[in-house]
Amino acid sequence: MSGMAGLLPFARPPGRPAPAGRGERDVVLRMAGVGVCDARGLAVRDVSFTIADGEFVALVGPSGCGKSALLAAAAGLAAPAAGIVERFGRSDPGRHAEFGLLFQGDVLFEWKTALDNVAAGLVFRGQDLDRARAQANVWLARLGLAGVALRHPGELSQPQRRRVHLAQVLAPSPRVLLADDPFATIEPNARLALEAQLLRLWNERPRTVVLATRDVQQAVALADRVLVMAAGPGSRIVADIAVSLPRPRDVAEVRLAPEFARTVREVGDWLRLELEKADA
Amino acid sequence: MPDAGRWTRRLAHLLLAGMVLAAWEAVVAAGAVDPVLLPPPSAVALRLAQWAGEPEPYRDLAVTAFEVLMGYSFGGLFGGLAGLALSLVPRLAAGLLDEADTVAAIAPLAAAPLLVSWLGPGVGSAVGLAALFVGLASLVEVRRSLLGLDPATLANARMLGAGRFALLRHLLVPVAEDRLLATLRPAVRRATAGALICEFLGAQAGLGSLVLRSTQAWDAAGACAAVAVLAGASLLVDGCLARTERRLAPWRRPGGRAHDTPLFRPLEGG
Repeated sequence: MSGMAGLLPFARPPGRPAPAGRGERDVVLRMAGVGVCDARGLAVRDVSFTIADGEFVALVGPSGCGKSALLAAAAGLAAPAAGIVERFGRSDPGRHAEFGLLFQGDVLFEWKTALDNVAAGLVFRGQDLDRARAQANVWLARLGLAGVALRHPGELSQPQRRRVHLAQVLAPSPRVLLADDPFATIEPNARLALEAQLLRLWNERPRTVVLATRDVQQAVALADRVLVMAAGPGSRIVADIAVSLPRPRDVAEVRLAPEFARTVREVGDWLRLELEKADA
Repeated sequence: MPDAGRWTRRLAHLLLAGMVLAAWEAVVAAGAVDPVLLPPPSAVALRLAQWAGEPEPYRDLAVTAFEVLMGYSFGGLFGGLAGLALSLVPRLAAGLLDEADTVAAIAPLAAAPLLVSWLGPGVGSAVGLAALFVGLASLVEVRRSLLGLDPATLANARMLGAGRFALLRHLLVPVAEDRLLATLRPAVRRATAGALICEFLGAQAGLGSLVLRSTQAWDAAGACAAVAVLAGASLLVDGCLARTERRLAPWRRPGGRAHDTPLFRPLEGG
């Protein structure tokens, strides 16, 4: 039970609804005592948390602490080795139609145009091609990609490919977006633009987001709540920190707020502690 | 590539070929070699000019082209389908790929006489052998390309809601198709080799049989001319295929598939 007990000392600031237990917002994702294995063994051990509908939660941890494995378990791509994963109150195994996963690497279908890549999720769900393409066009325009709709991924820049993937995952309108360090490989300036875009989309239609990242500033700038993971292997969650920055936010402006600096420092302290423990 | 350099090189090639032919002509004219065994290039050229006005060589060319086309079509189709079907059986015989490569290159050659005895000498066995050559190679290529499909891309498709059928239609078939197109030129060469081998084993028509008939009639000039026609036709077809290849898979960048480039590999970790 170290997971739940470990969360309690980190009090939420007053006025912020606790995601669990209040009953006014649906619990979208609940993990209880979850352990996940990856190729190297037990990546995550005894993780417990609850995420409410509409919450933007960041999952921060050192490289290789099992963030990806945890998200895969949440997405239903991998069965947890231990514990319970509940999505919308049910612990059915496998993929959930309301969960979208933004992958870390290049996962676009190279043989399809940007348009058909975005339409793919709708087509897979049985929509006819013309309507799916019409919807995909709207998504491409929303992400500033209207001009490259008919290009193949091989002809796009890396930030453009990330945008296409974002549109692809959002096009079927999942209620929950799991994002596995999606902008890790993008150079910093383009990354800021992508963060801004993600935030803008979220402002237009707030949905639940679980963003795994190694970038503390990104986590604090975007999320309502930051969960800090211990260094792997056998990682667990060591801190649950609320971000009390007002919304709507601007990813560049928000970084100038004193509250931002304070929260980044708090999360950074936890991370440093974990890294020192891992080195010791 | 600068155009001027290319044309200079072409000219150099032509000069070299001209010099070799001239030397060959001189050696035969000097009486060093029996012209019945090795005809001078002039005799071969004369024979080619003579054939240009006769219907028979055209028929032979058409027969061989037909055999290659049919062999490639059947082989590519059935080999590709078999490769796809194998991929539906998870990881079956994945370790056998290297052995399968060797078998695909050698076995059809050894099976040629057997095939001729079953189907009789002629177009049927030539198509069959060409198809066998292409089919086995296609099977191996498709199987390999599907095993090489990025697991994260597959997971992405699953997360987007793809079921078994959608995976087959939107991922496996395009990848298999692409592999078949990418190996189109070697496959056509294989089909040609298969067709020729069967023609050598007693067919009545085709360029291979033209070589055989000419040789049996002690007509070395005719045999050499047939070989020249075959080489010319192969070059022409290969050149055309190289051109269409680029048009058939526009998403493939010159120099390989986009995700083969290490520059765009995702970073590991996290």
